[in-house]
Amino acid sequence: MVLEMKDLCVDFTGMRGKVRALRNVSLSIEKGEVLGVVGESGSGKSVTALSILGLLGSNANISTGEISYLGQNLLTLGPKEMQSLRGKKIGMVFQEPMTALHPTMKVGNQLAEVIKRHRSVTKRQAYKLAVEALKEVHIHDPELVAKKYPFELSGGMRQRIVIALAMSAPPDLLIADEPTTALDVTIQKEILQLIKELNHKRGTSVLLITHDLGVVSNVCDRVMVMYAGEVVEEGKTEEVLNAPSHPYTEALLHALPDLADPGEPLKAIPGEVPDLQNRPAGCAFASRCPKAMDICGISVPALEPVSNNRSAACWLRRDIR
Amino acid sequence: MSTLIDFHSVDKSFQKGKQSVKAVVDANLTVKKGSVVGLVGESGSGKSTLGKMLIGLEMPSEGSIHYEGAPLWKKKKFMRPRPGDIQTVFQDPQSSLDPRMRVKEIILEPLLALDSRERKEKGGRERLTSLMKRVGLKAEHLDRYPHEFSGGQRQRIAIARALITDPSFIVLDEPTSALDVSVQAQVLNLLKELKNERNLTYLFISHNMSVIRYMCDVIAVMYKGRIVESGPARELFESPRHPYTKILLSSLPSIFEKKGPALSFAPPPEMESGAGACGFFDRCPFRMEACLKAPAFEAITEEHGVACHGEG
Repeated sequence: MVLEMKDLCVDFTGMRGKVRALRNVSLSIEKGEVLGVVGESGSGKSVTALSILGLLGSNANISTGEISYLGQNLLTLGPKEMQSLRGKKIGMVFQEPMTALHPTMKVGNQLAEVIKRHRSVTKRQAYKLAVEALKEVHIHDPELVAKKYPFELSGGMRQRIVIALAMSAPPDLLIADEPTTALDVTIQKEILQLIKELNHKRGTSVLLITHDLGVVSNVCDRVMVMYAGEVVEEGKTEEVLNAPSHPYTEALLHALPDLADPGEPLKAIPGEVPDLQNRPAGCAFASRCPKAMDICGISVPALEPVSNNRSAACWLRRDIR
Repeated sequence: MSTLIDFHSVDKSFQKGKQSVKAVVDANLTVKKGSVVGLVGESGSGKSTLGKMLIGLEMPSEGSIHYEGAPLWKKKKFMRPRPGDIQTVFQDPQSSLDPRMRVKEIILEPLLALDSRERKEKGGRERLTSLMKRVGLKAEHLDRYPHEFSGGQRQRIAIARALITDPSFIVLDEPTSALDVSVQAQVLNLLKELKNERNLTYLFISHNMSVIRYMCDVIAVMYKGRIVESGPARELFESPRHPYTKILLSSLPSIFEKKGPALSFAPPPEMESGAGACGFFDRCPFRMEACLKAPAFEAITEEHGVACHGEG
């Protein structure tokens, strides 16, 4: 087990009071595994990533739960220890590559700086390793690219460089938060292939956060579906997408225009995500759920196994079992 | 169906000092009345520029655009047809709604372009509330500000604003790209219903192939400012001709993907392709010697056309 999170609850304090952004979120990633976290905006996928990295803002508070990385409890680490872990043991790739790179520093120097920090090498060796790292993310002519500034490069190239940065240590776990959302589909495919390749070649575990179920089906071994700060379903990607256990996962799949008949209306999910400030009692999805029962409005279903390798948080599944 | 819009060898170049960038090159496209024409392509391919020339935000450098038979641009001036006949919905409802205006003011603003009689007729309280209801909002929302709404609701406000003048044509520039999947489905359904109810014509700009497939009757694929392939949606999806269209379709990370042969961009060629070459030469997996000379756009069938030597 590379990473294990148990019953994590995160509260944010804002002007209107406290908001619970994560509610009993548990997850685990094995070595070499790619775990996808899907959900719509505000479902808590990014907060999950940030809490692993210890990057939650000062207005956030982890009230309960634990996060262990290779057996080490991350929540008890001080800021210094956390800092030495970030980048070195846990790499990060964010959505917007332009803001993740230093705008007035040449790409090669940026990479060399990171490499020098994580490994005991001289400046010159670090630069050499930087050029090699660029080659490894399939950049043609790495010597030339190393001498360029980020603004001279395309979005896809920049994201390759961010990935090279994240993988330079090299880490045991790569957290990628919407790594392809800002990119064109054709480039997206290339970046996803690259992440997959690095995962295979080096056995790096990956936590991939995305709102795109297509991306999940292409890259992830397992998937975790989040809704309103909770995990509603978790299981092997193929199984979850082919036969979803939770009505929300099912509704999400049907709302995609991918296979829809242009003559028929799309099966949209009625209503909107509940305001976490006034979270309804019971299941958060109940008000939009086509299969809601009386109990759904009263009591929150816990995430429990419904079959081998599959868990869902739904009263419906509980009855079937 | 009669022709509503006709692009005839339209060029658009942007100039900065001595540099000049061609955003649209030799675009030919007809939009039939009551149809939905989709424009796809990667960022920077010129699809939004093409849309902007229809709503008067960018002027074509060369060529002509006709709207209902009359030229849309004359001597560098936008010849507006009936005011409010062409409307638009932008991608980001956050930045396209004035944060300091109430919803009511936002929706009524396009009417300022009309004469006072029509303004009164179309801006009536009753019409406004029924329009609000039609796009899925409530009458009491009229006095609120944009920040009080979610992304999907804001996009509904933008749609109501476009509809208030009773347009016959709407440019939809990535109308659902900023929305979540469940909300996207709601907005796409709404757009489709409105189209049928009001016999609207859409130019639908998007980079999302599955959205385009669902929404459009005709699709034009753009690459580096050129329309490289255009044709009926179904035909284009079933038998794409241009290598770029093929790559676009194969890179769709669809969950229901048929496991066809994956197609990717080719690495850049050893030699320089030169200015006269096909725009796709440097990345085309099927490039050949003939491609050093740019191919012309040729019709395969009456409606389906492609600019590629491999298909000549």
